[in-house]
Amino acid sequence: MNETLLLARRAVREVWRIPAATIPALFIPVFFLVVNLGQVNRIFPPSTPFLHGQHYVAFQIPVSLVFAVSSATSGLAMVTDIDVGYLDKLLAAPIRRTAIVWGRLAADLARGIAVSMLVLAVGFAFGARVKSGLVGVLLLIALSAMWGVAYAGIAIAIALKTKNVQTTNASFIIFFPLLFLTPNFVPLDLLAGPLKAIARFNPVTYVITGLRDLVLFPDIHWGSLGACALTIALTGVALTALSLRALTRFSE
Amino acid sequence: MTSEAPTDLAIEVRGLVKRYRGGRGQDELSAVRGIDLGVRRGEVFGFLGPNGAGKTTTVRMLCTLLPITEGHATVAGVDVGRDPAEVRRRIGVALQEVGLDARQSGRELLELQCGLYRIADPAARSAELLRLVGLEDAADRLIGTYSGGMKRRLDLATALVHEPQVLFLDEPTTGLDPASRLTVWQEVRRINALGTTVFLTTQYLEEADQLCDRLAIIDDGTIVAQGTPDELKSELGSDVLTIGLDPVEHDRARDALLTLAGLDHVTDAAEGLAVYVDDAAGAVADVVRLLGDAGIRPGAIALSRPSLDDVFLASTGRRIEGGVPEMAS
Repeated sequence: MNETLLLARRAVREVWRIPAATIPALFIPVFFLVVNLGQVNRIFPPSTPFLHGQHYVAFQIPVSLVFAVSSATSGLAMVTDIDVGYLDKLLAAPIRRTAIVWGRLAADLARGIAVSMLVLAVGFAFGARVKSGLVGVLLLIALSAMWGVAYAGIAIAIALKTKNVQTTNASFIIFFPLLFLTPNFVPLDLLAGPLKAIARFNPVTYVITGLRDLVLFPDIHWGSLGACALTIALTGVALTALSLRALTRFSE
Repeated sequence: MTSEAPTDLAIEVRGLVKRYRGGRGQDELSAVRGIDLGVRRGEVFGFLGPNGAGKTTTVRMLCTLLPITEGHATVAGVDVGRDPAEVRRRIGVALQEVGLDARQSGRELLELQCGLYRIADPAARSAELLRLVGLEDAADRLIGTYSGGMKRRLDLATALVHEPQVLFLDEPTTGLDPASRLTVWQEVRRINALGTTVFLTTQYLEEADQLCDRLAIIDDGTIVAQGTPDELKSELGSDVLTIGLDPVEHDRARDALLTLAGLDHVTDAAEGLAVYVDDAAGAVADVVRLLGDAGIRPGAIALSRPSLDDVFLASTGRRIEGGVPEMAS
């Protein structure tokens, strides 16, 4: 079996064996979803124009999806590997070093798929529907999981650079402003001036908007979907490159 | 293509240097200061020194885990700097920090390791290694539940999956209880008997004495002595008489013994003085007489051959364990 697949299998097994590493990351977005609904549901009834006949929960699901999959779990697992000396064992083995990072990202993909399915199930339970049907559901899961993979690179890079749990965990905190400086509560056009300007430059805006259009509209909006996919791809390339560079420099 | 050179040496090191960049406003730190080593194929070579001497840094450079600042090293006939990937194929590594993933079972970890080294039948090879290191019964338990000794044995097994030509063991018994230490020693002897060259770092004198065909002593990044344990001890050319004394009498006793026939030198010992003399057995009577003439009554007198600690002391002026400084000669 290919070395990347071997390391991916190990990382996925780890996700399965340590649910405590995944469940807290799931709890916070679901908690926010429920609290937001409790506060805003009556202000934005389904007749609100930007909800297109859906409950507000449908509008919020993409935010919860992105929130749930953007975790520092792989970075924290990398710190553990560094602490116990297992990363040294991998670095002393005759394998491509990139396989070490790819293996971790494969676990993020598996975790992202599982977490996205759970968030969607919660959303469905609260009355949300994905108007674009089964294709939309599959795209929501796939794109959310891929965003999780793309974003994981930053935690892995921080882990390799600092070898420190607290600092690595901070990569999750970095995500908070990125998530909230977006049209997460209302559409971009309704945001106040300065926030609107910032949101336009925030890549997470395009991820949320692309996912949201899949939830709200029966037909695929290729423009927003393409922007979403492109943002995920560019983020993934940039942050994965950062983590691979950090691994190359790890021993220096 | 590899940069392999025909040689009888499993490890050859010339002028090896490791310097680390200092922090802000600090000078560079030299961890290894130009060492030369030659490890023959098939031997157990010991690298003895106190904490911070440069042992682990040297091993990490030879295992391709740290870039070499200056100098040249070949391992298993391959240039470490030029072809690190080929070096990795030929070596096994068990570092000081037991490199195991506590979230996998012993069998899973070994099978993964076999896969990374492209072993044809990972399941069969893992089972064979588990049997060899006596972990068959615990093979399917998570490694997090293993004792320290079990983890060390599994770590050894992971270093052996591909039958390496050279095995690096960095302080393999540090933190182990005496029984586990003996088990690891047996493993090292068994592995070596199968033809694997073993490069072993240790801060334990007994371990170096018991296991190593030859050894080098490193202190402050520099090799201070190299040879077989017997050669190194013989170079001191003296037996040791350890004399129990009241601490207040040390100076007077040292002065009294200056005229002892065959005296090499005298140092402080744990509860008295260590007297290095050509023929300790023949000198006992003279020691008692000289001390008696000075009005000193010695306690227990013990006779011994020089130890590796004495070799370290003679080479560096310090004890490797306990830090007792040399006081007189």
